[in-house]
Amino acid sequence: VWRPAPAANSVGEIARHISLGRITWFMRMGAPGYEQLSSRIEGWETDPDGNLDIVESSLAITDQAGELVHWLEATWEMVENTLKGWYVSDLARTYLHKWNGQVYSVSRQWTIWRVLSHDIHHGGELSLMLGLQGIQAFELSGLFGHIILPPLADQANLGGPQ
Amino acid sequence: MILIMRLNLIQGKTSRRRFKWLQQAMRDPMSTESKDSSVSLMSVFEGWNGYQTSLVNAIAPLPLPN
Repeated sequence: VWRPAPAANSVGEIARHISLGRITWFMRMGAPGYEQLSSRIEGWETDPDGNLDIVESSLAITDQAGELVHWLEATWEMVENTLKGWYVSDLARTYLHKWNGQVYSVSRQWTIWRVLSHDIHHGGELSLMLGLQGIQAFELSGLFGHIILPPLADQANLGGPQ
Repeated sequence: MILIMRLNLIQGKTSRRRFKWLQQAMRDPMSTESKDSSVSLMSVFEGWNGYQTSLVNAIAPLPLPN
């Protein structure tokens, strides 16, 4: 398994981490669909603050591209269904989360941004890791993952002085 | 005198145009939708699904382990 440094994660470990990070945070905010995924994870541990964390190595998929894709797609389905089912008015709802001995009031907005930034942060790592190995990933590396274009402007409603 | 009157007329016309443009901008649907609490989060986070696709398409063809 190629790693940029002995202690660094492999491509497979990063891809798995993206999927499992989605489950952990969506579970904490009680998003629809997390139970079906969390019930498939066998390894759990409790941190000093009492939070459940996934033991990522318990899901031995890091050398199977098909399984990594399956978990990316399964966890995306959870994210997508949540985004489709929730509205802007839901963003301000909060839950309590203890971390480093302090209790935080965490909003759904904070959590969704946390997971979105987690995806992008580790997606950037994947892009670099693949590039270092000479593996092309055009959409992630060449297009930076921005493959959804904004809608075309309606010519009749173009702004600016008339 | 005539020149000054013409200048005033032109400036007035420009101001009216600017005011109409400002009114139009204030009616821009983006500025109202962003305050609408009934907007689906799917539309707020539009583009994330494309990023997900780019992740999948990066991993799917890999001859793992690597």
